[in-house]
Parts: sequence; C-alpha cells; structure tokens
Amino acid sequence: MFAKAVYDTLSQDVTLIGMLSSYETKPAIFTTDPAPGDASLPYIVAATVPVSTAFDTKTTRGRLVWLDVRCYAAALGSAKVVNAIAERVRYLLHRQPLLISGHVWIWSECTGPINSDESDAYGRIVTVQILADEL
Amino acid sequence: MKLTWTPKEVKKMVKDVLLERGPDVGMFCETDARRRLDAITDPDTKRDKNYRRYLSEQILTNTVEEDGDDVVIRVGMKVGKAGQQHHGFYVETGSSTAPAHPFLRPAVFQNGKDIVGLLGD
Repeated sequence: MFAKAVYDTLSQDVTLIGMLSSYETKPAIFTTDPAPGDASLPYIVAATVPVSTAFDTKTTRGRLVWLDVRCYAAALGSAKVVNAIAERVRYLLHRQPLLISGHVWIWSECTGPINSDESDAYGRIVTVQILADEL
Repeated sequence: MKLTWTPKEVKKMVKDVLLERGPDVGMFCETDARRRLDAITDPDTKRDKNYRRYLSEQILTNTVEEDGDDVVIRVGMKVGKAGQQHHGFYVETGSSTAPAHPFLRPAVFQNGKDIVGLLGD
C-alpha cells in the first residue's frame, strides 16, 4: 500500500511522466522488482522496502516504512536525464503528503539521490521514509 | 551535601560503556546481516551464489571506533581483494535488471530496540 501511494503520486505528475518511457500505455513506473524484461529506459522501480517497523503508542498503531525509488536511464554519456528524474522524484515525495490506504500520513522524508550506475544504465536511488498511523 | 555536575566525567563514562558494548552490537548486526544474506536465493547462478558466499564468509564485518566524542559502529563490507569499495551494493539495492535484496539496512534499522537494549540501560 505504501508503494501504491508512491506510485499514485509519481504517476500523476505530468513533468515526471514526460521524462519516462511508457509501458502498456502507462508511465514506466513499476511496483514490481525487477522491472519487466521488455520495459524500455528510462523507468522507475518503486518496490523495495528495506525497513518496515512499528510506530505504535499506547493508543495508536502506526508504521515507519522506507521505500527505495530506483530511477534508471540509458547510459549514453550524460546523466542529465536520470538526474532530472531523480530530482523530480525527490521533489514530489520529500515532505509531501501521501494518500495511503488504511492509514493517515504523518510525515515523509527523502534521502539521496545516490549513484547506482551500471554499464548499460545510469541509476539513481531516492529512499523515502514514510511515517503513517493506521486508521 | 553539595552535588556537583561533572559533564566531562559523565560523557567519558557513557563513552566507555559504549566502547565496551559496541562490539556486541556490531557482531549482533553483522550476524543478522549474514543471516539475511545467506537466505537470498536469487539470482541462482553459480556466479551469483559464489559472490554472495564471498560477501558472507570473507568480507562482511563490523568495526567499533572512537571518533572524537562519538563511538561509531559500522557494519558492512571490507574493501575487496582488488580494492573494490562497494561490494554488496547491488545486492542491497538491486539494479535495472535484478531485484533488490536488502540485508544491511534491515540488520540495523529493524533491530533498533535490540540494539538499544544491548548498548545499555
């Protein structure tokens, strides 16, 4: 549900969509890991949850979730495209409210982008930490 | 009776306790990271399996160091045989074609309560 919330936010941004390829008529933002083999760059993979911990009090239940948003673009000699995608992702997620099913958003904060270049693709990773109370 | 606040002594005492218990925390996190790393089953090529075994058995480690007023506990990979400094990075974060299998960050951040417990009361 957290990945879905991030997907919804990213896929509704016209500027970001304009920088990504499309996959089956939708923006190439995937909540499966890895991306489908026939997806073409540039694309985003927003699926990995490295940390998910309880954020409970005596009277409330909540969660702190980290989500890696991995941005990839073709390695063609310039990282301009992947940098622009990653910065847009950060802009859209850093301290921005999310609509999370069954939860009330409290706070989000991004770290990164960090470099994750490969031989065929330039990569940047933005990690968003999301804090939410259960409804 | 006059009580005197001696912050330097308190800081030194806390630091000494952290330095004494830090190795236990480092080993605890390293062990948990290794357990997570050993549980990864894909990609299942011989090359990938051998690489994960190399990470787990040869270069996954922890260190505890003083850094000024801080005590720094690090869990991660040693510099590789050929000087590589980012071993395990793509296992942790995934790549454009391979899935991520986080094992280092959960070993620390999923264990916050246990780590605080080990560091002292």
